[in-house]
Amino acid sequence: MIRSLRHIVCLGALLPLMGCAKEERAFPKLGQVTRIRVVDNMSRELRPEITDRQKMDQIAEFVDARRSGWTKPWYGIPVPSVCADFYDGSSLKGHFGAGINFFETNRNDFWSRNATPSEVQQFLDMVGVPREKIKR
Amino acid sequence: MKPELTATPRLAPGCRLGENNQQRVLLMPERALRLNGPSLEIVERCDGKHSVQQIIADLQKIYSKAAPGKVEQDILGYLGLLHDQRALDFITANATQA
Repeated sequence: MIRSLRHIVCLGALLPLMGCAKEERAFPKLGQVTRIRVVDNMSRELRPEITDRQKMDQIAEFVDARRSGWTKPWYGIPVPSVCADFYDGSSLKGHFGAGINFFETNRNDFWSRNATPSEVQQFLDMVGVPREKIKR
Repeated sequence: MKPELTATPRLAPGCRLGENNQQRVLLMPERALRLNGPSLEIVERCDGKHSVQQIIADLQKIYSKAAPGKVEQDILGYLGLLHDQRALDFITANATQA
């Protein structure tokens, strides 16, 4: 299973968007976050909302350390199984999600980035979701 | 596998085009791909009616600035990959290549 999705990701690296240049994006820091909702890919909550300041800072630091290297693979952007939705009050600032070997972010638009198994595990540990929630 | 040009691809049982966060998504068992641009153009045509050749011709028109041979290669590679991932079946004149 892991190999099969890696196959998709690898193919994407080989196929440059019907001859177009590969677009790469970096994002600004998240800034103020007052609560984090942890949801699956159907927006169902996987755990109670995170409001602990230290925990939120830790997650934001993890996300801010991965602000560059985001792309839009032409073959499609893998949808994550576990997502952290960042809020400042009632305002949604964006999301950061993880799949088996990738991250996805939504900052007004969706972007993808490869991730190592240890990065994915680190993210899951921080948001308090077991590994079994990651499908493919 | 490399699809035949006359085959008509269609989404395999258990796979469908859906929406997630207002984006078109190819839903497959236990995973999903957010589609846009050429990937969406291709998968939308995998309806059991368009042949591989027709899909290539359509995409070559849409992406007319790209080299036609490259577009064909990319589409064949993508369709083959989706088939290998069990997201597509190819209907041929004689039988379905599952």
